[in-house]
Amino acid sequence: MKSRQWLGFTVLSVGIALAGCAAPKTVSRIDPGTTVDLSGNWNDTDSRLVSEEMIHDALTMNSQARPWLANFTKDQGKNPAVIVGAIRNLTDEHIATGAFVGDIERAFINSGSVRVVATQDERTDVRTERRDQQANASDATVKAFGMELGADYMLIGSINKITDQEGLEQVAFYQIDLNLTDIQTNEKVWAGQKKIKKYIGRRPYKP
Amino acid sequence: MRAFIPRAVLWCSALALTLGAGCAGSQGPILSTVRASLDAADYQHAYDAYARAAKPGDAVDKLLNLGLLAFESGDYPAAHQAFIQAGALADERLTKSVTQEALALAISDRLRPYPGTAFDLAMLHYYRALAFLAVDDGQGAVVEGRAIAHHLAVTSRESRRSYRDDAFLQWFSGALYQSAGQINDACISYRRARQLYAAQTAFPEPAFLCPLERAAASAAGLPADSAGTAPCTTPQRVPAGWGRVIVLCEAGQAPPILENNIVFPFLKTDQREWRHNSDYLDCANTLYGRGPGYEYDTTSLEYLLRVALPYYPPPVPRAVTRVAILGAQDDDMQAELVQDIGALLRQDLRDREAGITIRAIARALIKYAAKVAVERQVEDRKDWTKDALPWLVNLAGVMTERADTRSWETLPDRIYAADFQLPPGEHCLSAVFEDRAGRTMLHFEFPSVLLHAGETLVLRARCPDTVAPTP
Repeated sequence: MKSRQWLGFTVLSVGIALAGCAAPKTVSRIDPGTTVDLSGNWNDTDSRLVSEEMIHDALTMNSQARPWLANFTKDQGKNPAVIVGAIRNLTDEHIATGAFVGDIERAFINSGSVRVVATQDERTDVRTERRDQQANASDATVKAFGMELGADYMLIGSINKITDQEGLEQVAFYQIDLNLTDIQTNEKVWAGQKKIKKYIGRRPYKP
Repeated sequence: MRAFIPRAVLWCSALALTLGAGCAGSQGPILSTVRASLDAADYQHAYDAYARAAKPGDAVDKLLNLGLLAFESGDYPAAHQAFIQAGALADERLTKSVTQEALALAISDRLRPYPGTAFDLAMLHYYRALAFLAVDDGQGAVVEGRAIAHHLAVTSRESRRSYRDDAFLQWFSGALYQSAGQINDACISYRRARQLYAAQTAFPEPAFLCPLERAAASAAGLPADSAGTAPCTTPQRVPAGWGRVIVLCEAGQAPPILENNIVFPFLKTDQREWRHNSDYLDCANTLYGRGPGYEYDTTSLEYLLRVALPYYPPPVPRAVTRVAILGAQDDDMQAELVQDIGALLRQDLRDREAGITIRAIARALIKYAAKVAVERQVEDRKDWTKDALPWLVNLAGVMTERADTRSWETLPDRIYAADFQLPPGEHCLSAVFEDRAGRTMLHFEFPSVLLHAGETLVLRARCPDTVAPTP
């Protein structure tokens, strides 16, 4: 074999070997609304679908306010205050429920029809700050204890998942249930539900 | 015999050498260091050494080892990261690369990416659950418990190997379900665990399991009888208002897979026409059926095919044979053997042995055919290439003939567990690992724990089999 051929072959071999070992990475910005499914697991698109459905269902119905909202406003003459409680993840995946809960909170606040009370963790931080104010803030600006807004309703819920798998095929069914419960009476005044079904197929072979 | 094009063969040989020496390098030296550090219970050193040298990249086995060493060192975020990556890669590996499969058949099984066994993937969730518990994230641990249950449900249906389901992990998953208040799921997992313990004879069902299953069945309103399990021999002891403590004691190290070179005689009367991979596999099947010890007339011998095969060394006597739990209500509380990982790994390799050997023989035949083809092509030459080229092809074949010894080596050899109730309050518990003579190998004191009513606490300790006992 001629030396030039040997050189070519050596370069090719090393190139292939390096290409096999290296793991090139590319990063690019994409629209947050773009649907990108990689593993088939719960992802940002699922979270967005849930928040869109829940916000639409909780706040509007045929362009009108939902009964729970309209009734409260009519009876009490003020907007209801809602607090977000626990969203139980009953699936076999680690799901960041905070993502869609944050969307729902934002929609409540921005609608101008629902007031949102800080969550338990947030309240702890705020109270720490208020306690700090008692010692360090001026009399004119210090905030008093015992003036917090008590919530009228609590948003609680769960995420369930049913998985069916056979060989390289899998179907994952998610059901997200959220409901608003009257803290005074325990009455559930709104129940929202979103179902997501995914088919995850894998090829047995690739080149 | 059909002649190959020598140039292509040479290129493949050199490529094989490059690949064999590059990507598929052995982890032997670094794992020896890690095993020595684990033997000395120096987990931080083991983690640091492995993280520095292993460069896990996209190797599932390395990520599993790295994840467990990070966990042992208390670096839980790094452990999660490695385990998540290993799980995702194992999922990707369900789709096989035709190119890699072909290269692996021709050159070395090490060119196949390690896919992770069903047992690896189940234990991955076990350690992730423990990592969540270590930072008081009970919900995260419960998610992993569900992942174990789902994984085992699929494996029990689809696995073609001996490892289909896992009694220990079913119990562990049940405990996590119960801690989340999912008593019905807990009961199902406990029952499955009891059935699996009953179906094996290596060691008995742990005494704590039956009362747990009965209590869960009662709480879930399920009938008390469960098919295939024996009645409880120990009384049901679930005092109201107490908390639950689970102590997991891991001992020893999983055995490493070693390489063994075996020679199979290839006779002049054996099949000599190989057009496709399946022809090599058919011939390999014949040679495998005949076995390496086949007696033959020396005049009928064509070639001795050397193949490198993975094997586990014979089990060594285990130093730790008893684990006592101090600080529990019962003065004689013992952790019971619940998982024999070493035995399980050995069985898994036995399950794969025939397939691995046949592939190795086929590979040796391919390499032999390449060598013969080159010899024929250059036999009329007068220059140095006449000897050098067949030698190069043979060298490539010899150098790349390596057994696939990859595995999750940093796992313990076995797991002992105790599952008991304690009244609410602060408790100081410890695990005493003892050898057969009753000498203490390790007295592991857990940090004091504050147990609340109805709460489940999981404590874990690991003891090497090699530490010197104290009288």
